[in-house]
Amino acid sequence: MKKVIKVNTEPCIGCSLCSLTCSVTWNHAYGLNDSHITVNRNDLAGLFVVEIFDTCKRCFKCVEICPSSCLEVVEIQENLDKGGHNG
Amino acid sequence: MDKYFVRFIDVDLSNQKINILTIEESTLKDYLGGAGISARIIYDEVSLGADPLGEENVLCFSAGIFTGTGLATACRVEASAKSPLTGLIGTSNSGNYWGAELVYAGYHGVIIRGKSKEPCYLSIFNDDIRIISAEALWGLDSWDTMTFIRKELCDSDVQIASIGQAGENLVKYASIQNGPYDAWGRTGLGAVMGSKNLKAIAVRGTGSIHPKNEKAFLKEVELSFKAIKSSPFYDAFKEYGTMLATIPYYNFGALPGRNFQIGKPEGWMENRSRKVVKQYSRRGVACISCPIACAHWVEVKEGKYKGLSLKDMEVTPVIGFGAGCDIDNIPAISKITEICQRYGLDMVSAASSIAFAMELYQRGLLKVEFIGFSLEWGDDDAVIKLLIQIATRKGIGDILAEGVREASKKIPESEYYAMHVKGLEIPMIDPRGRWSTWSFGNLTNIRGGDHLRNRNPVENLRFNENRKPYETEAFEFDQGMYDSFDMPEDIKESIFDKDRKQVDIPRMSKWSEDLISVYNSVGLCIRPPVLQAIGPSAIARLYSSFTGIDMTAESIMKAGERIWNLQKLFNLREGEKPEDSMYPDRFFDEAQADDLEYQRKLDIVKVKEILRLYLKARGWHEDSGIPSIDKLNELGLSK
Repeated sequence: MKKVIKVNTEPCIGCSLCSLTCSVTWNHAYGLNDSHITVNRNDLAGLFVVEIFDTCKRCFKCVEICPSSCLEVVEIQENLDKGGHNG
Repeated sequence: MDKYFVRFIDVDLSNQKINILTIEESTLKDYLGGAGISARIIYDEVSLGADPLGEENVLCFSAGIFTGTGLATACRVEASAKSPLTGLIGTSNSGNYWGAELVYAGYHGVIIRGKSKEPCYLSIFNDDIRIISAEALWGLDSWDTMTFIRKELCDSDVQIASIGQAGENLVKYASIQNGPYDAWGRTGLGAVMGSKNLKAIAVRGTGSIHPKNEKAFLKEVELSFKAIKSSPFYDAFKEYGTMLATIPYYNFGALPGRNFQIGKPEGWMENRSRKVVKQYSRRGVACISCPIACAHWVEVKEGKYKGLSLKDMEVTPVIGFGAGCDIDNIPAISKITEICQRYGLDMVSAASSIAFAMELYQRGLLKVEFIGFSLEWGDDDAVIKLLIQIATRKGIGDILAEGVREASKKIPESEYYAMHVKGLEIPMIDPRGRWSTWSFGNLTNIRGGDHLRNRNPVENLRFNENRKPYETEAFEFDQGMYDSFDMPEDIKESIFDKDRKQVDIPRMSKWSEDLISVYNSVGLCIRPPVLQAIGPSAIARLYSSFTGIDMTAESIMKAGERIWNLQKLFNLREGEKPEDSMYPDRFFDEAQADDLEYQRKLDIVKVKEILRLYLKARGWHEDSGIPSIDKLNELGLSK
């Protein structure tokens, strides 16, 4: 079993704190283009979709920081492991 | 360690030249970033008597020093110029994602000079900065402008600051829209942008920013996040956003009902207060790096405005149009908000201008023959029609587009009903209903009648008792809150009367104005959960670790004071007089029509006395309002 991040995008408020925290954790700098998680924002429609990339390091800092409880650490069987999944 | 600096893009639209300006560490130490840097630039670059809508005015966007980081709520950008509405410093602060993208592109600011011969927009993609024709965009609203530019640049993530038709038509309170729903709203900066034939500034950055002392900065970011989440206002603000204030304002009788005629509009609690938030919204929408998400995503599912969805239910339009014009339902207020967002109008000034016209209609000073249609209180169709007339300067809209001060000069016998201070329309708080540091701030605010430059960090809307009317307001927090409040002990003792649980309003005003100046310079949001949790000591630690520039709580607050004084010097240079800092006569001459029990009016002698005490607290001359030489020397502003 491995721990991965389950995403529930519905409560997402579009703050990108997940992405910024990932960026500074792994790149030592804040940005939106080089993190392992991103929030795809359609600002005009108010729609936000969280996407976790295969490169995710599973440090789970994004789960800790998310103020809307969109992210959850779950255990899955190893052969299903894709870094994270949009549940 | 290398000295810290930030870069600004300096664009002269007259000759289409683009330069890069470096803001050195010594300037940052004195002015921090954001509002501080823009104040310095406007003071230095806009000469006395400059036409606000002429080539000589300068428009400056300046991101807070922390904007783009993961520090909670650090996303703000100050925009400044000489205001076409007041003739004084025009300045406004906004969040969303625009500032962060600018910082990721490698810049902390954009300076716009001159005037383009043809409509244009500025595109910033990292170091690729271009002036592009906006011929095809001129005449579009801000939403369509945003969609057009994103398509043209083939990038749906590009952030757009734009003007709608109001800015193009030089409406004196035109906003600069920040994305579809946010804005640099106050003081008419959209008209300045329109006067330069600049339709939009599109920004996209793929870079990143790193703290000088990463470990120390991240520790402070974590502590700040915890402090904000521990604020007694956090959960409530997360649930209701600024709509939280709609009930206490009603209870105080401090709403600007029907252009400040009534403090408690009928049906308010049932159809416009925070009680109805859940009927129209199930989720919040945040700016970048903000855990609070004070704005609501509104969806109207039935009735006349069925199908309308937008980011809204912010206290400004709800009180401005809901109370000011007595529009008695959220769907209609949301539709009106949409019109303001699309056409690019400051919602405070627009609501106030229409409330002014509605009262003139009520009193027979404006006739249906002149307007072209009736203007009854609560008529949403009339409000929408009038907003579009204002934005396009058609009919009576052309007069109201000048703001209430100028409009009242053109409409006989209307001056008494023009509710402004120094030409800026007063927003939501009626000082007769609640006299506090916050309402007093409308008088001393550097940009005129406005409530957002002296938010009191311990403001508590549950209490309204003034044991010494005018001089104090109640401080009802517990001892723990008092002890943890981040303020030097000697200043704390001079501001708070612990035994009587009172706050000294003039002294708290000075402290709050300096602190808000700091907030607007570092890029933090002034919402109560943040303002209460993050004080100058924390900001100094954050600033030092992020930039490597050694700052203390004292030097941070001194910078805030320097910024406020510099903005004041701009206004004094333009001819501001102490007597300009006064409420409209209505607040002194009459009580609200529904205040039958107390018949509250302001006492002009007492108001003048509090102003005198404020000037004294500021170290400004009590008769002229001019900063003393000692004060200017202390702040390094004597040259």
